[in-house]
Amino acid sequence: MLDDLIRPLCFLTVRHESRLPLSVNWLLPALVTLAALAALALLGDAVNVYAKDGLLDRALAFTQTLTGFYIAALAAVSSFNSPHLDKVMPAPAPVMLIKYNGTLQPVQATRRRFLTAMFAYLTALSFLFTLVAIAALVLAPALRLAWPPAVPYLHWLGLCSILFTLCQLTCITFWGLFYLGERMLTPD
Amino acid sequence: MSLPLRKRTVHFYELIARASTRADVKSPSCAPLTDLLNCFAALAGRAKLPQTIRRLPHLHTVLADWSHDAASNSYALLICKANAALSDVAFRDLATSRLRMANKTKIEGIEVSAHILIRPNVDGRTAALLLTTGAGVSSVDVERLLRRLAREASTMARNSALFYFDHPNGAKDDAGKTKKYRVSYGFDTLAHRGQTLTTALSSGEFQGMELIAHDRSQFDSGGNLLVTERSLSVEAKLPKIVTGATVVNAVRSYLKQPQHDGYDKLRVHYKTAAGKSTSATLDIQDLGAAFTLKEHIEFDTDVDAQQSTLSPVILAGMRPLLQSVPP
Repeated sequence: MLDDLIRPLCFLTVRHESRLPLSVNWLLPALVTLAALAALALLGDAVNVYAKDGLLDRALAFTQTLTGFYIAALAAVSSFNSPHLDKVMPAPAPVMLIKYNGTLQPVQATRRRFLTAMFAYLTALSFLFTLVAIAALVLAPALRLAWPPAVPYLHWLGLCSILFTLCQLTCITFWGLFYLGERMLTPD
Repeated sequence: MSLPLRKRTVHFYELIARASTRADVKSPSCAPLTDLLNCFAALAGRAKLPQTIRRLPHLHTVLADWSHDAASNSYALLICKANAALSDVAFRDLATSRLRMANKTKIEGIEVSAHILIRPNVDGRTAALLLTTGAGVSSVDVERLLRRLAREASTMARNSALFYFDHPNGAKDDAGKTKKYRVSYGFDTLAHRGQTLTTALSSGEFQGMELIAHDRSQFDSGGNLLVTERSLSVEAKLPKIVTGATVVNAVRSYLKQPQHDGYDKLRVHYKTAAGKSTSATLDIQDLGAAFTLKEHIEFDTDVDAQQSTLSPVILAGMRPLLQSVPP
Protein backbone atom coordinates (compact mmCIF):
# COMPACT_ATOMS: atom_id res chain seq x y z
CA MET A 1 0.00 0.00 0.00
CA LEU A 2 2.74 2.45 0.94
CA ASP A 3 4.55 1.99 -2.32
CA ASP A 4 1.39 3.10 -4.13
CA LEU A 5 1.60 6.40 -2.25
CA ILE A 6 5.07 7.18 -3.57
CA ARG A 7 4.24 6.25 -7.17
CA PRO A 8 3.77 9.98 -8.12
CA LEU A 9 7.55 10.19 -7.80
CA CYS A 10 8.00 7.66 -10.63
CA PHE A 11 8.67 10.57 -13.01
CA LEU A 12 12.17 10.66 -11.58
CA THR A 13 12.77 7.14 -12.97
CA VAL A 14 12.58 8.41 -16.56
CA ARG A 15 15.73 7.56 -18.46
CA HIS A 16 16.76 8.56 -21.97
CA GLU A 17 19.87 8.08 -24.01
CA SER A 18 20.35 11.84 -24.27
CA ARG A 19 20.39 12.14 -20.44
CA LEU A 20 17.96 15.07 -20.79
CA PRO A 21 15.79 13.90 -17.84
CA LEU A 22 18.91 13.72 -15.70
CA SER A 23 19.88 17.25 -16.72
CA VAL A 24 16.46 18.83 -16.26
CA ASN A 25 15.55 16.96 -13.06
CA TRP A 26 18.87 17.09 -11.25
CA LEU A 27 21.79 18.81 -12.92
CA LEU A 28 20.29 22.17 -13.85
CA PRO A 29 18.44 22.61 -10.54
CA ALA A 30 21.64 21.71 -8.68
CA LEU A 31 23.68 24.28 -10.60
CA VAL A 32 21.11 27.02 -10.06
CA THR A 33 20.86 26.10 -6.39
CA LEU A 34 24.61 26.34 -5.95
CA ALA A 35 24.66 29.74 -7.63
CA ALA A 36 21.83 30.97 -5.43
CA LEU A 37 23.48 29.62 -2.31
CA ALA A 38 26.70 31.38 -3.22
CA ALA A 39 24.83 34.64 -3.66
CA LEU A 40 23.01 34.25 -0.37
CA ALA A 41 26.23 33.40 1.42
CA LEU A 42 27.74 36.63 0.16
CA LEU A 43 24.70 38.59 1.38
CA GLY A 44 24.99 36.92 4.82
CA ASP A 45 22.41 37.64 7.53
CA ALA A 46 20.77 40.42 5.54
CA VAL A 47 18.50 37.91 3.85
CA ASN A 48 15.44 36.86 5.82
CA VAL A 49 14.80 33.19 5.14
CA TYR A 50 12.64 31.68 7.85
CA ALA A 51 10.93 34.62 9.47
CA LYS A 52 7.68 36.33 8.48
CA ASP A 53 7.76 37.76 4.95
CA GLY A 54 11.05 35.93 4.43
CA LEU A 55 12.11 33.80 1.50
CA LEU A 56 10.26 30.68 2.66
CA ASP A 57 7.10 32.60 3.51
CA ARG A 58 7.00 34.18 0.04
CA ALA A 59 7.78 30.89 -1.68
CA LEU A 60 4.99 29.24 0.28
CA ALA A 61 2.47 31.80 -0.88
CA PHE A 62 3.51 31.04 -4.45
CA THR A 63 3.61 27.23 -4.29
CA GLN A 64 0.27 27.02 -2.49
CA THR A 65 -1.46 28.08 -5.69
CA LEU A 66 0.53 25.77 -7.94
CA THR A 67 -0.91 22.47 -6.73
CA GLY A 68 -4.35 23.23 -8.13
CA PHE A 69 -2.95 24.26 -11.51
CA TYR A 70 -0.85 21.13 -11.77
CA ILE A 71 -3.84 18.93 -10.98
CA ALA A 72 -5.84 20.73 -13.66
CA ALA A 73 -3.04 20.17 -16.17
CA LEU A 74 -2.84 16.52 -15.14
CA ALA A 75 -6.57 16.06 -15.64
CA ALA A 76 -6.40 17.79 -19.01
CA VAL A 77 -3.50 15.70 -20.32
CA SER A 78 -4.97 12.42 -19.13
CA SER A 79 -8.25 13.16 -20.91
CA PHE A 80 -6.99 14.79 -24.14
CA ASN A 81 -8.54 13.02 -27.09
CA SER A 82 -5.49 12.96 -29.29
CA PRO A 83 -4.17 9.82 -30.97
CA HIS A 84 -0.62 11.23 -30.94
CA LEU A 85 -0.51 11.13 -27.18
CA ASP A 86 -0.97 7.38 -27.08
CA LYS A 87 1.85 6.46 -29.36
CA VAL A 88 5.22 5.47 -28.02
CA MET A 89 7.57 8.46 -28.27
CA PRO A 90 10.00 8.38 -31.20
CA ALA A 91 12.94 6.05 -30.86
CA PRO A 92 14.85 5.99 -28.71
CA ALA A 93 11.84 6.45 -26.47
CA PRO A 94 12.37 7.36 -22.84
CA VAL A 95 11.91 4.47 -20.44
CA MET A 96 10.28 4.73 -17.06
CA LEU A 97 9.40 2.31 -14.31
CA ILE A 98 5.74 1.66 -13.61
CA LYS A 99 4.02 -0.73 -11.26
CA TYR A 100 2.48 -3.60 -13.20
CA ASN A 101 1.13 -6.77 -11.63
CA GLY A 102 3.01 -6.11 -8.43
CA THR A 103 6.46 -5.62 -9.99
CA LEU A 104 8.31 -2.62 -11.36
CA GLN A 105 8.09 -2.82 -15.14
CA PRO A 106 10.24 -0.67 -17.43
CA VAL A 107 8.07 0.66 -20.27
CA GLN A 108 8.69 2.89 -23.22
CA ALA A 109 6.77 6.03 -22.47
CA THR A 110 3.94 7.39 -24.57
CA ARG A 111 3.52 11.17 -24.57
CA ARG A 112 0.43 10.84 -22.40
CA ARG A 113 2.24 8.71 -19.83
CA PHE A 114 5.25 11.05 -19.82
CA LEU A 115 3.16 14.19 -19.34
CA THR A 116 0.80 12.72 -16.74
CA ALA A 117 3.79 11.39 -14.79
CA MET A 118 5.42 14.84 -15.02
CA PHE A 119 2.38 16.72 -13.74
CA ALA A 120 1.69 14.12 -11.07
CA TYR A 121 5.22 14.64 -9.82
CA LEU A 122 4.88 18.42 -9.92
CA THR A 123 1.61 18.20 -8.00
CA ALA A 124 3.18 15.95 -5.36
CA LEU A 125 6.30 18.13 -5.13
CA SER A 126 4.41 21.40 -4.69
CA PHE A 127 2.07 19.74 -2.19
CA LEU A 128 4.93 18.35 -0.11
CA PHE A 129 6.87 21.61 -0.35
CA THR A 130 3.85 23.49 0.99
CA LEU A 131 3.49 21.17 3.96
CA VAL A 132 7.20 21.14 4.78
CA ALA A 133 7.42 24.92 4.43
CA ILE A 134 4.53 25.40 6.84
CA ALA A 135 6.21 23.08 9.32
CA ALA A 136 9.56 24.86 8.93
CA LEU A 137 8.03 28.29 9.47
CA VAL A 138 6.24 27.11 12.59
CA LEU A 139 9.19 25.22 14.04
CA ALA A 140 12.02 27.61 13.15
CA PRO A 141 11.60 29.98 16.15
CA ALA A 142 11.25 27.03 18.53
CA LEU A 143 14.35 25.30 17.17
CA ARG A 144 16.34 28.52 17.44
CA LEU A 145 15.57 28.63 21.13
CA ALA A 146 15.79 24.93 21.90
CA TRP A 147 18.85 23.92 19.91
CA PRO A 148 21.08 26.94 19.18
CA PRO A 149 24.23 24.98 18.13
CA ALA A 150 22.32 23.28 15.34
CA VAL A 151 20.85 26.47 13.90
CA PRO A 152 23.60 27.26 11.33
CA TYR A 153 23.57 23.69 9.97
CA LEU A 154 19.80 23.52 9.84
CA HIS A 155 19.69 26.96 8.24
CA TRP A 156 21.91 26.03 5.30
CA LEU A 157 20.49 22.51 4.95
CA GLY A 158 16.98 23.90 4.87
CA LEU A 159 17.94 26.71 2.50
CA CYS A 160 19.61 24.25 0.13
CA SER A 161 16.52 22.02 0.15
CA ILE A 162 14.15 24.96 -0.43
CA LEU A 163 16.19 26.35 -3.30
CA PHE A 164 16.69 22.97 -4.94
CA THR A 165 12.99 22.16 -4.73
CA LEU A 166 12.01 25.52 -6.20
CA CYS A 167 14.58 25.19 -8.98
CA GLN A 168 13.51 21.66 -9.82
CA LEU A 169 9.86 22.72 -9.79
CA THR A 170 10.69 25.55 -12.17
CA CYS A 171 12.79 23.46 -14.56
CA ILE A 172 10.27 20.65 -14.84
CA THR A 173 7.37 23.10 -15.18
CA PHE A 174 9.09 24.82 -18.10
CA TRP A 175 9.80 21.45 -19.67
CA GLY A 176 6.12 20.60 -19.32
CA LEU A 177 5.12 23.94 -20.81
CA PHE A 178 7.37 23.24 -23.79
CA TYR A 179 5.62 19.91 -24.32
CA LEU A 180 2.10 21.28 -23.93
CA GLY A 181 2.71 24.48 -25.81
CA GLU A 182 4.80 23.22 -28.72
CA ARG A 183 6.03 19.65 -28.87
CA MET A 184 2.62 18.05 -28.58
CA LEU A 185 1.42 19.95 -31.63
CA THR A 186 4.50 19.27 -33.74
CA PRO A 187 4.41 16.06 -35.80
CA ASP A 188 7.16 13.54 -35.21
CA MET B 1 -2.53 -53.19 -11.61
CA SER B 2 -5.85 -52.88 -9.78
CA LEU B 3 -7.53 -50.83 -7.13
CA PRO B 4 -9.60 -51.94 -4.12
CA LEU B 5 -13.31 -52.05 -4.88
CA ARG B 6 -14.41 -49.93 -1.93
CA LYS B 7 -11.48 -47.69 -1.14
CA ARG B 8 -9.40 -44.97 -2.71
CA THR B 9 -6.51 -42.85 -1.49
CA VAL B 10 -6.76 -39.19 -2.37
CA HIS B 11 -3.72 -36.96 -2.56
CA PHE B 12 -4.03 -33.21 -2.29
CA TYR B 13 -2.16 -30.83 -4.53
CA GLU B 14 -2.11 -27.16 -5.21
CA LEU B 15 -2.51 -26.27 -8.88
CA ILE B 16 -0.82 -23.03 -9.88
CA ALA B 17 -1.40 -21.27 -13.19
CA ARG B 18 1.41 -19.09 -14.47
CA ALA B 19 1.52 -16.87 -17.50
CA SER B 20 4.59 -16.28 -19.62
CA THR B 21 5.15 -14.04 -22.60
CA ARG B 22 7.78 -13.30 -25.20
CA ALA B 23 6.98 -9.58 -24.93
CA ASP B 24 9.13 -7.43 -22.70
CA VAL B 25 6.79 -7.71 -19.73
CA LYS B 26 8.30 -8.89 -16.45
CA SER B 27 5.08 -9.95 -14.76
CA PRO B 28 2.50 -10.83 -17.42
CA SER B 29 -1.16 -10.83 -16.56
CA CYS B 30 -2.93 -14.11 -16.00
CA ALA B 31 -6.59 -14.85 -16.65
CA PRO B 32 -8.51 -16.18 -13.65
CA LEU B 33 -8.18 -19.94 -13.35
CA THR B 34 -11.96 -20.31 -13.32
CA ASP B 35 -12.20 -18.66 -16.75
CA LEU B 36 -9.43 -20.88 -18.10
CA LEU B 37 -11.08 -24.03 -16.81
CA ASN B 38 -14.45 -22.99 -18.24
CA CYS B 39 -12.72 -22.43 -21.57
CA PHE B 40 -11.07 -25.85 -21.38
CA ALA B 41 -14.39 -27.45 -20.53
CA ALA B 42 -15.74 -26.24 -23.87
CA LEU B 43 -12.84 -27.99 -25.61
CA ALA B 44 -13.43 -31.19 -23.67
CA GLY B 45 -17.09 -31.63 -24.52
CA ARG B 46 -18.60 -35.11 -24.65
CA ALA B 47 -18.32 -35.27 -28.41
CA LYS B 48 -14.58 -34.72 -28.28
CA LEU B 49 -13.79 -37.33 -25.63
CA PRO B 50 -11.72 -39.37 -25.04
CA GLN B 51 -8.81 -37.01 -25.70
CA THR B 52 -5.28 -38.30 -25.68
CA ILE B 53 -3.06 -36.70 -23.07
CA ARG B 54 0.02 -38.75 -23.72
CA ARG B 55 0.84 -41.69 -25.93
CA LEU B 56 3.94 -43.83 -25.56
CA PRO B 57 4.65 -47.26 -27.06
CA HIS B 58 3.30 -49.00 -23.96
CA LEU B 59 1.21 -46.30 -22.33
CA HIS B 60 -1.83 -44.37 -23.40
CA THR B 61 -3.30 -41.73 -21.12
CA VAL B 62 -6.64 -40.18 -22.04
CA LEU B 63 -9.07 -37.65 -20.66
CA ALA B 64 -12.25 -39.69 -20.59
CA ASP B 65 -14.74 -37.37 -18.94
CA TRP B 66 -15.09 -33.80 -17.63
CA SER B 67 -17.85 -32.11 -15.66
CA HIS B 68 -18.44 -29.01 -13.59
CA ASP B 69 -20.29 -28.95 -10.28
CA ALA B 70 -21.60 -25.46 -9.57
CA ALA B 71 -22.52 -26.30 -5.96
CA SER B 72 -18.95 -27.00 -4.90
CA ASN B 73 -17.44 -24.84 -7.70
CA SER B 74 -15.30 -27.79 -8.72
CA TYR B 75 -14.34 -29.41 -11.97
CA ALA B 76 -14.23 -33.20 -12.09
CA LEU B 77 -11.94 -34.97 -14.53
CA LEU B 78 -11.62 -38.65 -15.33
CA ILE B 79 -8.21 -39.64 -16.61
CA CYS B 80 -7.56 -43.21 -17.66
CA LYS B 81 -4.19 -44.77 -18.21
CA ALA B 82 -3.79 -47.97 -20.20
CA ASN B 83 -0.54 -49.86 -19.71
CA ALA B 84 0.40 -52.52 -22.25
CA ALA B 85 3.54 -53.49 -20.31
CA LEU B 86 1.43 -55.42 -17.80
CA SER B 87 0.89 -59.14 -18.14
CA ASP B 88 -2.41 -60.75 -19.06
CA VAL B 89 -4.90 -61.11 -16.22
CA ALA B 90 -6.12 -64.52 -15.08
CA PHE B 91 -9.52 -65.12 -13.47
CA ARG B 92 -10.21 -68.18 -11.36
CA ASP B 93 -13.74 -69.07 -10.38
CA LEU B 94 -13.52 -69.36 -6.63
CA ALA B 95 -16.31 -71.98 -6.52
CA THR B 96 -15.35 -74.20 -9.43
CA SER B 97 -11.60 -73.41 -9.60
CA ARG B 98 -12.05 -72.86 -13.34
CA LEU B 99 -9.41 -70.59 -14.84
CA ARG B 100 -10.07 -68.03 -17.55
CA MET B 101 -7.54 -65.69 -19.16
CA ALA B 102 -8.48 -62.19 -20.22
CA ASN B 103 -6.48 -62.79 -23.42
CA LYS B 104 -4.90 -59.35 -23.49
CA THR B 105 -3.04 -58.78 -26.73
CA LYS B 106 0.32 -57.11 -26.95
CA ILE B 107 -1.19 -53.86 -28.22
CA GLU B 108 -3.83 -53.67 -25.51
CA GLY B 109 -3.16 -52.03 -22.18
CA ILE B 110 -4.81 -52.70 -18.86
CA GLU B 111 -6.65 -49.49 -18.07
CA VAL B 112 -7.19 -47.98 -14.64
CA SER B 113 -8.94 -44.69 -13.94
CA ALA B 114 -8.16 -41.75 -11.71
CA HIS B 115 -10.66 -39.16 -10.60
CA ILE B 116 -9.51 -35.57 -10.23
CA LEU B 117 -11.31 -32.68 -8.58
CA ILE B 118 -10.13 -29.13 -9.19
CA ARG B 119 -11.54 -26.31 -7.08
CA PRO B 120 -10.27 -22.79 -7.93
CA ASN B 121 -9.21 -20.73 -4.94
CA VAL B 122 -10.31 -17.16 -4.32
CA ASP B 123 -6.96 -15.72 -5.41
CA GLY B 124 -7.77 -16.69 -9.01
CA ARG B 125 -4.40 -18.25 -9.79
CA THR B 126 -4.37 -21.39 -7.69
CA ALA B 127 -6.71 -24.27 -7.12
CA ALA B 128 -6.98 -27.22 -4.84
CA LEU B 129 -6.48 -30.44 -6.79
CA LEU B 130 -7.53 -33.82 -5.45
CA LEU B 131 -6.34 -36.94 -7.21
CA THR B 132 -7.15 -40.58 -6.54
CA THR B 133 -3.94 -42.54 -6.62
CA GLY B 134 -3.11 -46.06 -7.68
CA ALA B 135 -3.94 -45.72 -11.36
CA GLY B 136 -0.51 -44.54 -12.39
CA VAL B 137 -2.00 -41.15 -13.15
CA SER B 138 0.00 -38.38 -11.56
CA SER B 139 -0.37 -34.66 -11.19
CA VAL B 140 2.09 -34.31 -14.07
CA ASP B 141 -0.55 -35.82 -16.37
CA VAL B 142 -2.99 -33.14 -15.24
CA GLU B 143 -0.38 -30.44 -15.92
CA ARG B 144 0.22 -31.89 -19.37
CA LEU B 145 -3.50 -31.99 -20.12
CA LEU B 146 -4.11 -28.41 -19.05
CA ARG B 147 -1.11 -27.16 -21.03
CA ARG B 148 -2.36 -28.91 -24.15
CA LEU B 149 -5.84 -27.51 -23.70
CA ALA B 150 -4.38 -24.04 -23.16
CA ARG B 151 -2.39 -24.30 -26.39
CA GLU B 152 -5.50 -25.39 -28.25
CA ALA B 153 -7.64 -22.64 -26.70
CA SER B 154 -5.07 -19.97 -27.61
CA THR B 155 -5.62 -20.60 -31.33
CA MET B 156 -9.31 -19.66 -31.14
CA ALA B 157 -10.37 -16.05 -31.62
CA ARG B 158 -13.23 -16.34 -29.12
CA ASN B 159 -10.70 -16.97 -26.32
CA SER B 160 -8.54 -13.94 -27.12
CA ALA B 161 -9.54 -12.19 -23.88
CA LEU B 162 -7.76 -14.97 -21.98
CA PHE B 163 -4.55 -14.79 -23.98
CA TYR B 164 -4.15 -11.16 -25.00
CA PHE B 165 -3.71 -8.34 -22.50
CA ASP B 166 -3.16 -4.61 -22.88
CA HIS B 167 0.51 -3.70 -22.93
CA PRO B 168 1.56 -1.89 -19.74
CA ASN B 169 2.91 1.09 -21.68
CA GLY B 170 -0.65 1.98 -22.68
CA ALA B 171 0.34 2.70 -26.28
CA LYS B 172 -2.20 2.53 -29.10
CA ASP B 173 -1.67 1.67 -32.73
CA ASP B 174 -2.64 3.78 -35.76
CA ALA B 175 -6.17 2.43 -35.62
CA GLY B 176 -6.51 3.62 -32.03
CA LYS B 177 -6.52 0.11 -30.58
CA THR B 178 -4.48 -0.57 -27.48
CA LYS B 179 -1.39 -2.62 -28.17
CA LYS B 180 -1.56 -6.04 -26.62
CA TYR B 181 0.83 -8.79 -25.70
CA ARG B 182 0.17 -12.49 -25.86
CA VAL B 183 0.61 -14.89 -22.97
CA SER B 184 0.88 -18.62 -22.81
CA TYR B 185 0.03 -20.65 -19.75
CA GLY B 186 1.90 -23.22 -17.76
CA PHE B 187 0.55 -25.20 -14.86
CA ASP B 188 2.40 -26.54 -11.86
CA THR B 189 1.16 -28.88 -9.18
CA LEU B 190 2.71 -28.92 -5.75
CA ALA B 191 1.93 -31.44 -3.05
CA HIS B 192 -0.42 -29.56 -0.77
CA ARG B 193 1.59 -28.91 2.33
CA GLY B 194 -1.27 -27.07 3.92
CA GLN B 195 -1.66 -29.13 7.00
CA THR B 196 0.17 -28.73 10.26
CA LEU B 197 -0.18 -30.86 13.34
CA THR B 198 -2.05 -28.06 15.08
CA THR B 199 -4.65 -27.63 12.33
CA ALA B 200 -4.98 -31.39 11.82
CA LEU B 201 -5.81 -32.00 15.47
CA SER B 202 -7.93 -28.88 15.88
CA SER B 203 -10.23 -29.93 13.08
CA GLY B 204 -9.81 -33.66 13.60
CA GLU B 205 -9.29 -36.10 16.46
CA PHE B 206 -6.12 -37.67 17.79
CA GLN B 207 -6.03 -41.46 17.61
CA GLY B 208 -2.48 -42.34 18.55
CA MET B 209 1.14 -41.76 17.73
CA GLU B 210 4.44 -43.56 17.37
CA LEU B 211 7.91 -42.30 18.06
CA ILE B 212 10.32 -43.91 15.65
CA ALA B 213 14.05 -44.30 16.05
CA HIS B 214 16.30 -45.32 13.17
CA ASP B 215 19.38 -46.76 14.74
CA ARG B 216 21.18 -49.93 13.98
CA SER B 217 21.91 -52.31 16.77
CA GLN B 218 22.73 -55.97 16.99
CA PHE B 219 19.79 -58.32 17.09
CA ASP B 220 21.44 -61.71 17.25
CA SER B 221 24.64 -62.92 18.90
CA GLY B 222 26.29 -63.54 15.55
CA GLY B 223 25.82 -59.96 14.45
CA ASN B 224 24.23 -60.87 11.17
CA LEU B 225 20.78 -59.60 12.08
CA LEU B 226 20.46 -55.95 12.87
CA VAL B 227 17.72 -53.83 14.37
CA THR B 228 17.16 -50.92 11.98
CA GLU B 229 14.11 -49.26 13.51
CA ARG B 230 12.34 -49.23 16.81
CA SER B 231 9.13 -47.52 17.67
CA LEU B 232 7.20 -46.50 20.74
CA SER B 233 3.40 -46.44 20.45
CA VAL B 234 1.42 -43.92 22.44
CA GLU B 235 -2.31 -43.51 22.81
CA ALA B 236 -4.53 -41.14 24.78
CA LYS B 237 -7.12 -41.92 27.44
CA LEU B 238 -9.08 -38.85 26.33
CA PRO B 239 -8.19 -38.38 22.67
CA LYS B 240 -10.62 -35.50 22.16
CA ILE B 241 -8.59 -33.13 24.33
CA VAL B 242 -5.28 -33.82 22.61
CA THR B 243 -4.12 -30.84 20.59
CA GLY B 244 -1.08 -30.17 18.45
CA ALA B 245 0.53 -28.26 21.30
CA THR B 246 -0.15 -31.15 23.71
CA VAL B 247 1.62 -33.57 21.40
CA VAL B 248 4.58 -31.28 20.76
CA ASN B 249 5.10 -30.45 24.44
CA ALA B 250 4.70 -34.06 25.52
CA VAL B 251 7.17 -35.35 22.94
CA ARG B 252 9.76 -32.68 23.76
CA SER B 253 9.40 -33.32 27.46
CA TYR B 254 9.75 -37.08 26.97
CA LEU B 255 12.83 -36.75 24.77
CA LYS B 256 14.60 -34.49 27.28
CA GLN B 257 15.16 -37.48 29.48
CA PRO B 258 18.54 -39.01 28.57
CA GLN B 259 17.29 -42.59 28.38
CA HIS B 260 14.59 -41.58 25.86
CA ASP B 261 16.71 -39.99 23.17
CA GLY B 262 17.36 -41.41 19.71
CA TYR B 263 13.89 -40.94 18.24
CA ASP B 264 13.90 -38.98 15.01
CA LYS B 265 10.39 -39.36 13.57
CA LEU B 266 6.88 -39.00 14.89
CA ARG B 267 3.93 -40.63 13.16
CA VAL B 268 0.59 -39.24 14.30
CA HIS B 269 -2.64 -41.10 13.56
CA TYR B 270 -5.73 -38.94 13.55
CA LYS B 271 -9.23 -38.72 12.23
CA THR B 272 -9.88 -35.84 9.84
CA ALA B 273 -12.79 -33.43 9.91
CA ALA B 274 -14.45 -35.64 7.32
CA GLY B 275 -14.19 -38.59 9.71
CA LYS B 276 -11.49 -40.49 7.81
CA SER B 277 -8.49 -42.00 9.57
CA THR B 278 -5.14 -40.94 8.27
CA SER B 279 -1.62 -40.40 9.51
CA ALA B 280 1.25 -38.02 9.09
CA THR B 281 4.94 -38.50 9.70
CA LEU B 282 6.96 -35.58 10.98
CA ASP B 283 10.57 -34.93 11.82
CA ILE B 284 10.99 -34.83 15.61
CA GLN B 285 13.10 -31.68 15.28
CA ASP B 286 10.41 -29.91 13.28
CA LEU B 287 7.03 -30.82 14.66
CA GLY B 288 5.57 -27.51 13.55
CA ALA B 289 6.25 -28.21 9.88
CA ALA B 290 3.44 -28.63 7.39
CA PHE B 291 2.94 -32.04 5.88
CA THR B 292 1.46 -33.34 2.69
CA LEU B 293 -2.25 -33.82 2.87
CA LYS B 294 -3.78 -37.16 1.92
CA GLU B 295 -6.99 -38.92 2.84
CA HIS B 296 -8.60 -42.31 2.42
CA ILE B 297 -12.18 -42.60 1.24
CA GLU B 298 -14.40 -45.65 1.44
CA PHE B 299 -17.57 -46.56 -0.40
CA ASP B 300 -20.64 -48.55 0.41
CA THR B 301 -20.76 -50.10 -3.04
CA ASP B 302 -18.13 -51.65 -5.30
CA VAL B 303 -16.45 -49.28 -7.73
CA ASP B 304 -14.40 -50.72 -10.56
CA ALA B 305 -10.83 -49.59 -11.09
CA GLN B 306 -11.69 -48.60 -14.67
CA GLN B 307 -14.46 -46.15 -15.41
CA SER B 308 -15.68 -44.78 -18.73
CA THR B 309 -17.47 -41.84 -17.16
CA LEU B 310 -17.06 -40.04 -13.87
CA SER B 311 -18.22 -42.21 -10.99
CA PRO B 312 -20.75 -40.40 -8.81
CA VAL B 313 -19.78 -42.68 -5.92
CA ILE B 314 -16.13 -41.65 -6.02
CA LEU B 315 -16.97 -37.98 -6.53
CA ALA B 316 -19.38 -38.07 -3.61
CA GLY B 317 -16.52 -39.38 -1.48
CA MET B 318 -14.06 -36.78 -2.76
CA ARG B 319 -16.17 -33.59 -2.62
CA PRO B 320 -16.35 -33.36 1.21
CA LEU B 321 -12.53 -33.48 1.27
CA LEU B 322 -12.45 -30.05 -0.36
CA GLN B 323 -13.43 -28.62 3.01
CA SER B 324 -10.00 -29.63 4.34
CA VAL B 325 -8.40 -27.12 2.02
CA PRO B 326 -9.14 -23.45 2.61
CA PRO B 327 -10.21 -21.64 -0.57
